[in-house]
Amino acid sequence: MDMERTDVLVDILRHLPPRILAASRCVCTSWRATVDHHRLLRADLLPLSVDAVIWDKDTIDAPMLFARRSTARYITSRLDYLEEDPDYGMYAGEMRDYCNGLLLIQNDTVVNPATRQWAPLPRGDCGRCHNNRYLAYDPTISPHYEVFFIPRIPHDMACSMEWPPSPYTMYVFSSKTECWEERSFMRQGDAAGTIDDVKSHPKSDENLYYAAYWQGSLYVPFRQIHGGFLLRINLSSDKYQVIELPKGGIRSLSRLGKSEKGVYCVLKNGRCTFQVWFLYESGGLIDWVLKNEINLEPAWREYFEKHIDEGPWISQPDDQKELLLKNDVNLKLVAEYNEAVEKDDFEWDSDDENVLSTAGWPKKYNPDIECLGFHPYKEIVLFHDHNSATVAYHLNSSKVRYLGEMEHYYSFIEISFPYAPCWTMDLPGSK
Amino acid sequence: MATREAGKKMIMLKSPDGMEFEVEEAVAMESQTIRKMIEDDCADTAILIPNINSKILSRVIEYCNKHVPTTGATGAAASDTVAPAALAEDLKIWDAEFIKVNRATRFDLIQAASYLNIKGLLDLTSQTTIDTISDNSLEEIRSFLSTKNDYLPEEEQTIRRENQWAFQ
Repeated sequence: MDMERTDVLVDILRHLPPRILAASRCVCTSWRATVDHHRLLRADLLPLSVDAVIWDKDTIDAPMLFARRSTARYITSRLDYLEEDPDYGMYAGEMRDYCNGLLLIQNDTVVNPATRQWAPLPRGDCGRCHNNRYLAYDPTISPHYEVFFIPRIPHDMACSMEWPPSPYTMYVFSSKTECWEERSFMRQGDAAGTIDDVKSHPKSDENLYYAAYWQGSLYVPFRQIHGGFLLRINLSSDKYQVIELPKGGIRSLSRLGKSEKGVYCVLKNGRCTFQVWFLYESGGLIDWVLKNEINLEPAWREYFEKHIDEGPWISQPDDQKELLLKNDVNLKLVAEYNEAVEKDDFEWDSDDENVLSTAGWPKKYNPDIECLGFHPYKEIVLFHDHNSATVAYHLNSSKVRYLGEMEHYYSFIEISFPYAPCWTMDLPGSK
Repeated sequence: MATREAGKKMIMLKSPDGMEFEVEEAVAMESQTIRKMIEDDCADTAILIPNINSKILSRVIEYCNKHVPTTGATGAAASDTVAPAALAEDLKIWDAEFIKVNRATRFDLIQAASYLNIKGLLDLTSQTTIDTISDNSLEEIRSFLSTKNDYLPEEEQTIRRENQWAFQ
């Protein structure tokens, strides 16, 4: 079989998504040479490195950016281009979800803040149900995205009925078909309880919290009276499964997220103590494995004693945000960005003087700390406190790295996502 | 030799094994490579198609005949009465049958589609290979495509590490 004919090979490889292309480089030397020579794999455009935290401090203002210095010079968190009325520009955009570089905004748009491309979602049959919407997007596999709306418990359901139900009717928007579709997901395995169990919890289904998207499944946390659980929704098979949260349950669930090996969650035990659990999945077996017990008090004490005030990350200044809106985004700018980030002396894996020890157990100083989320490709969790000090915690070395001051005016922020810029310019349905 | 038959301009295609195929110009122009030759006036005599044997060339012509707009095998009459959606569905079924060939033939067709620059045929023929590459392990890909792994184990590890994210 003559697969050495390069022109044929190029034609075939050109059709492959980035993740498969990256694997194809390992097939043999001529395949790698072909991929590299024709620049078929553009890993530099993919959301592989966390360069910022994007967050909302309230429900009115545009999102904010806490970022590497170079990132703050290239990507604006303002979403003015979504608004027809320029006066409302700086208020546009309360975030509802984030997935691999894309934001889902309350006003029914999907936005890529790096490229400033955006696409409106059509109105669905489910009405204006803003909460409980989730974005599923992985540009290493496909340029298409899906938006999930997972309805809460309907009022007319009998209290003795099983919850979650089977089938569970959800509404799914696909950028491939450009329409909302009602889809029924069948449960595999046991239910979590009954409608009564959920309704007796005071805030049972107001919020469904942060979700995780990994290997074609969406993991969505729910709460009920006897602890919380996850739905693991398989997008391609129309099936779902209930997974109980580790002991401690949803009251202490700080964050669910995708990281290096799969899905992880952070539970908050005290003001500055946390547990990190890993969801081990293999051959049908699913179980939570305790990965880290974290106490951040010593790191915080050291941080204040050392008076570290300059970290490698900064809050993006307002004038910078506005200035950036005037520039066009094109591939030349992306090349400049990647060069700037490389020159930046910030590396996730490097040791530097701002790495703090976390040995010992809390004694005097007792800061209240919250989790900001996970690095999607490295076992790193971000945390911050009321006074805006923000750190990265490396799960393997238990080392803490001070990132900087993420200004948020002495109140906990509403919603936040570790942000990895995605520079692919092919957002389906974009304006 | 460009000839004329029933008011349609005909083109002669020649395979390297000496077979000649007379086809309508519109059908031949499904190939961007041939279209360019005709437009550049290089097509006065029979066009020799190098590297493509008569067996494969006849199949390529069969594909182009089916896919040429309105004057294909289904004829102009069919497109008047049949809805476009139904026509597209019919083509899809025809394509699925067309591609039921062995591996060697499929690669020959990919090469032919690539050389003659026929996008639809290239998409169709390479899709199975793309699916195979997408759905299988490296070992399975190598065996399906009869490609040898010429990396040293440590080399393969290094290349894997360059894009570690793709293996997570």
